[in-house]
Amino acid sequence: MTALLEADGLAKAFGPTPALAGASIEVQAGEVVAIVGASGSGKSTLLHCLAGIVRPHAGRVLYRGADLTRMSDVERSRLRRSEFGFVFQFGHLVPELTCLENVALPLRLAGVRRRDADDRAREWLERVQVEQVAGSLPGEVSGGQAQRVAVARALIGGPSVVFADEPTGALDSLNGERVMQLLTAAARESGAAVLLVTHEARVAAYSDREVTVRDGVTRDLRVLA
Amino acid sequence: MNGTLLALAAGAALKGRDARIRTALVAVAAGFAVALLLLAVSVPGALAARQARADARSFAVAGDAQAGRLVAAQVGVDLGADGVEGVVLAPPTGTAPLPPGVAALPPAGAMLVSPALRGLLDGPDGPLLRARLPYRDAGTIGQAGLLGPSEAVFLAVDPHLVPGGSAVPVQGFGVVSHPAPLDPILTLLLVVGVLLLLVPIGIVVAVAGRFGAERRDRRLAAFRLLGLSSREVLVVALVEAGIAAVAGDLGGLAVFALARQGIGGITIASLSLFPADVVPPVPGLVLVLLVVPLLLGAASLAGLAALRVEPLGVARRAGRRRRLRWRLVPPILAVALLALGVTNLGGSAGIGLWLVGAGIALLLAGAVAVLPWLTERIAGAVAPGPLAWQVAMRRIRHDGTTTGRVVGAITAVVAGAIALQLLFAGLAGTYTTQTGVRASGTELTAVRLLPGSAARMLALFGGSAGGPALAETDLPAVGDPARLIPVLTGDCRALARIAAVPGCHDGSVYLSPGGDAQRGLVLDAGGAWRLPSDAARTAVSVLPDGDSYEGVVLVTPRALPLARQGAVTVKTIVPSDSAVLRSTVRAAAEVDPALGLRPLATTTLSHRFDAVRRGLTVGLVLVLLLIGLVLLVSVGEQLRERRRALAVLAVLGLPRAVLARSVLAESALPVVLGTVVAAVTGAALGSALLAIVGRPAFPDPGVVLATAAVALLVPLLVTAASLPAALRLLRPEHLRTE
Repeated sequence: MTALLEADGLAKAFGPTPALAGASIEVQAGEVVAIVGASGSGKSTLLHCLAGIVRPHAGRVLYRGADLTRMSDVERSRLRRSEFGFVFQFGHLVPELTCLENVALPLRLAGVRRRDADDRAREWLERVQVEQVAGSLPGEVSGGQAQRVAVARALIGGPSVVFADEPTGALDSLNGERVMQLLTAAARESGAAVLLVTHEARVAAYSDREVTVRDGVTRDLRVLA
Repeated sequence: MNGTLLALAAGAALKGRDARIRTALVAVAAGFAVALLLLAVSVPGALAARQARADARSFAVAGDAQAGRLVAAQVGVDLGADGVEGVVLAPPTGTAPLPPGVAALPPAGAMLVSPALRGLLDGPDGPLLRARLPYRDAGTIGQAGLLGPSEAVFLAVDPHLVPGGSAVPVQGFGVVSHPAPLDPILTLLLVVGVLLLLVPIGIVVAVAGRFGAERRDRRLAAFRLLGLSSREVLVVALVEAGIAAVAGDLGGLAVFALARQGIGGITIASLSLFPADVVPPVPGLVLVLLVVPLLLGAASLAGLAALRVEPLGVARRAGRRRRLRWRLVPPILAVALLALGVTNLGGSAGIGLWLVGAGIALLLAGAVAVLPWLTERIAGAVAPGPLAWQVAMRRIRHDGTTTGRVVGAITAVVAGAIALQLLFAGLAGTYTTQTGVRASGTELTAVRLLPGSAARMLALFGGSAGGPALAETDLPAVGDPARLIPVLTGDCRALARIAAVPGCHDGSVYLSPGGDAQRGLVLDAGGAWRLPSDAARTAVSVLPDGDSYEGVVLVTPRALPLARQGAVTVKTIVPSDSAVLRSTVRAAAEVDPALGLRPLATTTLSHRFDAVRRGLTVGLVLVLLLIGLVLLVSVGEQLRERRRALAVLAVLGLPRAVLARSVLAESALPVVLGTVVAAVTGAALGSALLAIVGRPAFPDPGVVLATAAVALLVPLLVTAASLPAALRLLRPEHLRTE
């Protein structure tokens, strides 16, 4: 079966410090993959390379057969806008926009009319059970609520892959569980693959497969499903 | 406060890259404000020093010729744009008094020159100037004898100078002048102008106090987590602001010292100052060095008042919305104070002026206070529209305060500038004197020319394509030498420009009505010359230079040759600043080195009015530059703080064009609203001030809009200049900096 997303021999260094030293990974459509490893092991860098956020020094990243490392900045932006969704540790919502506007943002960027985008955003806020914060600014809601808004934003555009970088890192365990349930359930429902960076075993447990990163090198540990 | 807290606060200001950048940014903005204020408080002293120099070198004219120890004449040599002034002395007979800046008088036939004049003598016009200064260069006039470094003056000893005319007996040098106090209207203008400069500087310093506030607030939250009380974090914030303020004071002193050194090389409106004269008075220095830190501290506290600094983070106080009520208080108070001030303007102790001044300050402050409220309301009310517009409006509602405050400062400047423009326009008539001159240009005059030179000069002037070239003289009537008849000589073309001369040919004579001239009168013109009995009568209009004649005889050269007229004055008018002027002067100076140049103007503006207007214009430009600088720093700082948000938008695939439109829209709204508020406030203030000085108040929409548009270009240009930086920050990889 052809992988939805695959990377081979990725290398990346920040100054003299190597972050990736030949990392490889394959992700199938609809699959939930956890990238685990110690702090500083290179797992976030791997995620950023796979999402086209940073360009690796060596290796290639293929999405549906197209090499991200050869794409221009504009092409990668277009790809992220149309095919990918993102959830970060601190939500990274746009602070000036309301929660509803944050969720509607990917649709607005895709050219959907504001009213339609807002309607669909409202549906997604209900789906992740935070419809009450629709008109609030991110700074006015709790961390758990903000993260659920981020999940809605990541999934509203119907992405093929959701990249989640420590999505529960700033949450208590109860909120963390809720967010992971919502994220994986919604992703499975819409058929999106999820690439999940975490150092928590209980979060990794939501994945189908774990890939460990150590000293910038990947190791496929186990297949759960 | 204990030492640990102090150390903590100092560390907060100086440890770590972010803290140092924030402190440096605040210090830079505050420093420029300090420098500008120090320059402002130094101006009165510098002008007083200039006046003292002028007094010290002025002649003390002797009561009678016997008491005079010197004979001196003040002379001017105009060179079109460059005026050269000098003092010519007759050779002293005994021990002569010395003017300041002169160790010894030059020998007869020699002169001392200022460094600026030496520069002119060595420059491209040097030969022309030397021809008109027939003295040998014998040395340099010292600084004590000059008003400013760019003043071109000379002191010559001329053996041919005799008392009479402008040559007067002089007892010595140095007079005590008692300049008349400024009239109330000029004082009012100065008060408006000074407030206009101070209010925006105050706002700018307050804006600088909020630079990097978000990171500072997060740092304070961390201190709360470590156990500091909310009162203690306020102390930390104040000390942090204090350190930046002290750095700003020191930086401001350094910038002022540098600017002071550079002042010697700058000439504005023919005015230059010696660095040594630009010294702030001690009370002014202390006030400036105290006011800026106080403003920074107040800005810090005001910023924190809107926040709740908790151990887990910083939150805006719930329910805090900009309220209009208190923002309307300053303008309402301003109207009351202005009204009170008007009724007391003529009162004692200048109380009315103080009230008017306070009213103006409050009106400007009110305009600044209303603007953020108005901006926020409109940003909240407008339809969301396209994504770029929506993001911009949300940004303004969320935290548009920094740009809004800077635009507020510009609004205050523009409102004041509009009011001043209206006031200047309304008052110009009062301070303008009609000169009677009907032409513009430069009048060239060669006096007491002997016949050969006069004919050459008349021909030269006649071919210069300027005004009419005429020779004038007074000829006595034969048998009655006290009866002087004015005679103007010119060709038919020249005569036709001052009178109707039908049938004119070389040999024609005309007679204007009035005066003593009449047909048949015999004049002494190197022999008897009879005014022809058929001389046509014609009315002579006022000459272009404002001279008018009654009973003047107009002659063409063949009718009464110049050779018979003795010494005559030949004059014409040439367009100023033209190649014609330069070439004519060059050629004419060969005929008469003492050729006189006089710029003509139909009106002259009061020197003091003009000085106030120019001074305020220079001040306005400096304040706008300061605001532009602070706005640039402010926009850069905001971009730094938005780095993460911009990176997130980049990750989500935000196109650059959308961001560019959003950044521009974010500035455009406060700018447009600022223009409206400035135009309304400025027109209202200008009308009120015109009413105070008893002039009809009709705001000129052209003046209002043009002033507003020019000054408000500053924030738009700065925003446009910041776009490349914003686009550079729109990179997904910046997410990694978290």
